Amino acid sequence: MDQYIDIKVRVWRQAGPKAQGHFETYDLKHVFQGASFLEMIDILNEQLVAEHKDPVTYDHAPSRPASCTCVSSKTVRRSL
Amino acid sequence: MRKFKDGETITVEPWRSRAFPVIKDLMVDRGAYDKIMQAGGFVSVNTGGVPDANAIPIPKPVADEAMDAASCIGCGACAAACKNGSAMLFVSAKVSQLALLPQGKIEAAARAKAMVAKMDELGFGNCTNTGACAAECPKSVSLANIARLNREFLSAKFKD
Repeated sequence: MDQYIDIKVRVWRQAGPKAQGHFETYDLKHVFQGASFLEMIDILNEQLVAEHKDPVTYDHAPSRPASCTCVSSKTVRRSL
Repeated sequence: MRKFKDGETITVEPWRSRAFPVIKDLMVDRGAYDKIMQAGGFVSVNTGGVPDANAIPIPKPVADEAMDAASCIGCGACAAACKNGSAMLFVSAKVSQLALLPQGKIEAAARAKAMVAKMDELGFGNCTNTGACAAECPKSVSLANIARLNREFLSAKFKD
């Protein structure tokens, strides 16, 4: 049974190819478990735009139609 | 999102590979794979009308193997997962899908050498058979393709 969960998303932020990158953590509340991972990133971006912050840029062109996980990024660790 | 529990922290980072420079945030430049394909991931054939079906008989197991190799979508997960930053699974899938079929055998030797040379030139590492690439591959491309690439490459070098 899908439920709504609260999560923290720790995302790599880097303004450009030469810029120094860093991780930023965002709280994401009330995320439906039936959503895909990419939809979760969309929800995060909607939240960031609403807060007048720069949304997370990610590459999903080859993956979204197939609903696979091969975006140009990866989930490296999960922790409670 | 069903794999995640309430309260969890999810860490997301871009592909980590010297050959995939970060463009912004999670987006990386995977143009290196396109350059490898341009080096030899093709067959040179005369264009024309559609050939007759079954004009070139290919055994079903061979066609299946070629099709499995051709399922590679070039996402870059293999190189990013590899501790050496090697693109061998990608290159081997592309070499295999062509080398297994009669249409691709003509240029097989030149293809293997050119694609491996381009892979090295672009800064990808070498394969040490850890198998991380195959474990991460979303299309389940087999490590057997790397063995085939090594065989193709060696036989091409012997022909020099």
